[in-house]
Amino acid sequence: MIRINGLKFAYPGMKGYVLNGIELEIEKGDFIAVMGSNGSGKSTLCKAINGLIPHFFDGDYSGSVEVCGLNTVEHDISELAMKVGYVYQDFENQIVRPTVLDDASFSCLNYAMSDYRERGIRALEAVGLANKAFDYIWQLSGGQKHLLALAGALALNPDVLILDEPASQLDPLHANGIYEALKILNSEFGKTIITIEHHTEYIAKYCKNAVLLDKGRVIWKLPAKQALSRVDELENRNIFPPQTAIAAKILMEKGILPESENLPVTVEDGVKFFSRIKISEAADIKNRSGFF
Amino acid sequence: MNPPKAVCFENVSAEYRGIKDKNPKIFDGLDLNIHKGEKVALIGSNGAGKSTLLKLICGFIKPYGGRIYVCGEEITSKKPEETAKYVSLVYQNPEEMFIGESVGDDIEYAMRERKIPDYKSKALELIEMFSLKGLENKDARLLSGGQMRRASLAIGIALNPSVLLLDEPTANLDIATRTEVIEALNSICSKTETAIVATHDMQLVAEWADRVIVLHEGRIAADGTCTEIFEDEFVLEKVGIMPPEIYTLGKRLFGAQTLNPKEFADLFLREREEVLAI
Repeated sequence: MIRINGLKFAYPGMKGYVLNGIELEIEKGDFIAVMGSNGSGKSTLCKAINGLIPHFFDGDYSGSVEVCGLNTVEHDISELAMKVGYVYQDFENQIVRPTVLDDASFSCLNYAMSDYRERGIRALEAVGLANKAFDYIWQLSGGQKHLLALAGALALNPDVLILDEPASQLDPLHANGIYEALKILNSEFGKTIITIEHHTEYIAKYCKNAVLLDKGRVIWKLPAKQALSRVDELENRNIFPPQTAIAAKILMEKGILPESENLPVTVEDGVKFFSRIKISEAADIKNRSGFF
Repeated sequence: MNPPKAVCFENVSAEYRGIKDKNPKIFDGLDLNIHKGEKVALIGSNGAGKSTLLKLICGFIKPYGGRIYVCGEEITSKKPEETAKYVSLVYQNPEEMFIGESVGDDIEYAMRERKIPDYKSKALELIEMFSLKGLENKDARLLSGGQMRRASLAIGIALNPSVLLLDEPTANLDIATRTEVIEALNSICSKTETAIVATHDMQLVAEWADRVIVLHEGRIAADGTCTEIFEDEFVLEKVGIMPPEIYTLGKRLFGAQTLNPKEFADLFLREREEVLAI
């Protein structure tokens, strides 16, 4: 679905490469998180996937990015926009029309699609905003505006959706709402979802895989749970690991728990993991007392 | 006898101007007392009224009914520049607090305008206190995230407010910056009497606050210590609050209150020793 080879990019006037030889493949249907500390190149990488780089951002560019079989350098933004939708971190800036349905169908109208309205309605239905179609955008809450920006990206029916830090502006309830919408888009509509995310609780709950970037390179791409078990690596890069994993790691370092590359990363995992240890230790003690 | 009140709301009603129909009401007859010396966390979902409450306290918006007192003085109809003697608000976005040419200039600004004697040396103290030395001549907007937050806190306490208000001080911060901000918050609390933080960060609530006020649809849905709030399942469900992950884990496994991973690990070890001792 997405194939990136030897991608290097430097913004004009800046020293050094922001992306410094990215090698990455993302499969169709993946739900993948891009992690990394500030300045590691997360947003730049995602802008290279939808073609904003190099089309809208000048700079020193080499390597190749292929999305749905299209090389991003050879195809222009309007073609790429049909393949990759993008919800920016400051999503309010991509809401451009006064009413909800107008906004959701705006891109389709501008592509002169005759069914632009239906597409807008379908996109609103997919994110659960259909009942707000005729509201003014300023009547929406922050969480609903975020969903509207997602609907706007979705209306063109792209195969890939990229969201830059969807949880950061929202309270936990609304952030769950957007991730639940993404989960449905991924599982029922087969969309490939890429989120730039450092809230590991959402990665643990929703993502299938995770990529760690550092200084413009991919350090690893791993299944999400395995990725989040790498507590030290995350902490070294200023990312909060899941608290459950930190607790398991402390006990592992004390020699209480066996070394493992898969730590519990959600509360549900933790409950199973720690109670299993309680039970097996109790059984162990029982056996030993029987022996003596 | 109760300690003296830092902030007192009596039957306060506030609304925003609506677009077509009625003006949306944010508060309708709100009563609230915050005592001197309290470290209060204000929590609730987006739109619950947290920021409005902070703006009412510092006089940026005015209620249409009721009275507001700060440090015993009624400020209901006073201008914000008059209330600035007692109250200061640190914005969620630090960049909104930078108006001068440099960090030093921004920190001096309010003191200079109010002709406070020794404002230069006071600014230097603040620069020292928030580890901003060497940065004072830089444009504050060009600092790193953590430095910007520290600078905004220095600006916030420059006038020695009795009540310090902070809107989401830890939102969107990485580990290093968050640690810096929490350290700065703790050092501030030795300077100001009362601090009120509006936040979604339940880990901050667990580690820092000694009183938690839950706002929901313009009403106080709960008021207590963080463990009292985290134990109140009805409120959590209704308002959509999730306690820190490690709290939920400790509760489900041991029925205990663990506020950070280390506490959880220690508890696990104690429980295990008890089992082994049998």
